[in-house]
Amino acid sequence: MKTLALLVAVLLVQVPARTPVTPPDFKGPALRLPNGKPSMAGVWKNTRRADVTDPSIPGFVKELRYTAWGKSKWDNYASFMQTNGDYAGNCLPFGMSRSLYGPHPVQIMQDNDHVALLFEQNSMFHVIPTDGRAFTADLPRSWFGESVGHWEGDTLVVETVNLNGYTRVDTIGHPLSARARITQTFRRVNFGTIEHTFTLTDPKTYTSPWTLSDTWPLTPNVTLMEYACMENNRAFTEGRIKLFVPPDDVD
Amino acid sequence: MRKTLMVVFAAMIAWPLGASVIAHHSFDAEFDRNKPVTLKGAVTKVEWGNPHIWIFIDVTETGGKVSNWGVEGGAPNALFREGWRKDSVKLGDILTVEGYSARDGSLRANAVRVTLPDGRRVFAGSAAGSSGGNR
Repeated sequence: MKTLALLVAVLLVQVPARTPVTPPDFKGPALRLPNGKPSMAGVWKNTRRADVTDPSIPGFVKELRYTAWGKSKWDNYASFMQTNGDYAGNCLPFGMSRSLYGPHPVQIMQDNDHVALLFEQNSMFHVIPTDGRAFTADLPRSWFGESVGHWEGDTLVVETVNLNGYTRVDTIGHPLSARARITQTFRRVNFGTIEHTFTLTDPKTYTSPWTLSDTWPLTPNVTLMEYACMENNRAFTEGRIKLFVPPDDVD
Repeated sequence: MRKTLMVVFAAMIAWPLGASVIAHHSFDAEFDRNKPVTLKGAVTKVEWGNPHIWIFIDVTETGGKVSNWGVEGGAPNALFREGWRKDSVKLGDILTVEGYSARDGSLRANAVRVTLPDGRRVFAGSAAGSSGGNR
């Protein structure tokens, strides 16, 4: 009996006390980096925009003014996909806007000199230097392009160029070209909120720049999951979506 | 043969999610918005993989022949977060699937709505809806 009592006593002593979990104050101050700038770190509920002109989603674009080239690309998207394939259906990179405005969450990691956007969509990432460097000369064009960031006060401004022009702005297929320039601003207004803007300047496609405005709530209980896009892509492997042939007129 | 399937081609306007389907151009790369389809049959397989889950059901034609249809659902990550699991439907469960046929005429469709006999909806996030996939 004494032995049992001793065992129980030992067990009681060895059980670690539970540390009470204090929920974060979402209205509290934004996190700060070691250099004093706001940190955008966190998993965010990014705005889903299948169509950037959808008026039911706040911050939408009221009007897209196309060039003749842009109008042609918009009008012929369905037939283009039948001849050249759907790049998203090929599990190719979605590009910045379709990754940001897709149905899957985004995590941001950041230090003094870099911001990393981790997209669950296709398990893609995009690293943005914020150390003052310039764009890389002669870098081959790419799906996400090349980005550099700088600070304007507590607002992080990210410029992106060198896009390959193969992606679309959104699921519905609004076009962009390789001449597009994306300007984003990120402002962590408090612990639980980022205000984000996305501006597209693309004189080949649109006669004037346009801007989306978003508010992203922090979602600390969401963990990004692996997204191996081609593991069960029957649409492609069974031939219903054709192999993507890049357009040759996006420069 | 298609005419003999227990397949009902309904008017699109009868479908509450029709508008959201139209709003997704990438949908057109694989499916035909002019070919809505309703399929009813027993589950033979559920594939839980990216970018879309697939549910296979045996659909009995009026003449008795059985055709195994594959229907595309939402993205597994999004469905998981909504509380769905691969075994949310069991092999042999009878499902009614409302969706759109593949453009190529194969025994493939996308699932806009999947319903159990008691009316409960399962795998609510469809390929054309908010649960995304590679769209």
